Amino acid sequence: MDASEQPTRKVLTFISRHVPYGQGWAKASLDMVLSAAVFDQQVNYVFMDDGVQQLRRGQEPAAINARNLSAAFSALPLYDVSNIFVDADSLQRRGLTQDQLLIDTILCDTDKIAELIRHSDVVFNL
Amino acid sequence: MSRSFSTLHTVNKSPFSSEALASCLRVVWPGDAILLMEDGVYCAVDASASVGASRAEGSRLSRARPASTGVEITGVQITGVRIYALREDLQARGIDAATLPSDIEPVSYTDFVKLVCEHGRSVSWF
Amino acid sequence: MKLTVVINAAPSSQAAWSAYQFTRTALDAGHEIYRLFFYADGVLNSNALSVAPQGEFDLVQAWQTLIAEHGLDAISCVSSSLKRGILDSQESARYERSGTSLGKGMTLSGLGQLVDATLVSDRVVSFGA
Repeated sequence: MDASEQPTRKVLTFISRHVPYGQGWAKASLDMVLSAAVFDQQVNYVFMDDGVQQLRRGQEPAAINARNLSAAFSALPLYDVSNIFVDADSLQRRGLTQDQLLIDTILCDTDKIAELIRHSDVVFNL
Repeated sequence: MSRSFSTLHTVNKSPFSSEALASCLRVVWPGDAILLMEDGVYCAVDASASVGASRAEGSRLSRARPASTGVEITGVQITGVRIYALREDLQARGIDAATLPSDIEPVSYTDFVKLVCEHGRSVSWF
Repeated sequence: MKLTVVINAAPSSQAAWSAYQFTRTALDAGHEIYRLFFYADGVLNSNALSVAPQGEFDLVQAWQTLIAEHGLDAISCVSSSLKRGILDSQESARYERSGTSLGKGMTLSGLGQLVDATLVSDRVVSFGA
């Protein structure tokens, strides 16, 4: 393929499935999303499993000297990241509802996540 | 190259320690393939079925997919999905490939590379 | 095919070895590895100061050999790396640290290199733990 034929935009789906503190996956995922958005890629950001805990309102990670990701999540619209999906089953199993989340999200089922994967060029799952 | 809609899912955690397989099974789609690798090969062992089944109980997948003609993995029936297990990882863990359920196929690293190329994208569950 | 391999796991985890084995096998099969991208704990694969216990496979050294043999482009994410003490001479001087640790043939750079790799590569494969 000639360099001039390279696509400049791909569909990248990021699935974030881990708790916000201790492991670093939440931040690792968020940084990937922001980079992809800065480079003008079409981004889907999906929270499932323990990943939904990242969006719980009222977190005060300063109490454990951890970095607060809330501000960065709130800034996602500034990066034109609006396809933010939350797996309804994961929320429900953790006793959470959408109005307890700190940003606007699209509530979805796993069929929708399967569809997002099928229509992605690349999926990052961390 | 036209985008292939089927996906290769890799799972590398034991079903006893992680939701990786259970979550993968919730979004897997007919035509997809699942490669069990590293500790993921423990998912292939029959004895884990009872635990896996209770974990997956009530999941959308077990309701939506007819149980008649599928592959069974950790007690969950899925249809139209091929399941592979990495031979080196089976061998390392003392799992005799000959004792696997007949619809779980042992594969080599060369096959792993081929699977990546044959599918439109790969999703790593860990 | 043009492949990019993303390594999110430390060499202490089997996932890092799997990534290495996958890369070797893909090269043997005639595929092109466009880029290795070490991210999160995966940057520990770039730590040239690590010493493998006697009799154990030295994955960090093996990566460097593979990179040299095939002239691979290997990026260690700069923010992940700094946090884990993976420094080249420039970063070491900038932060006034006592030495360098980045493996031979590896380059510190940002996530833009991963986005670029997704654009250019036919497939991107991730390994995590």
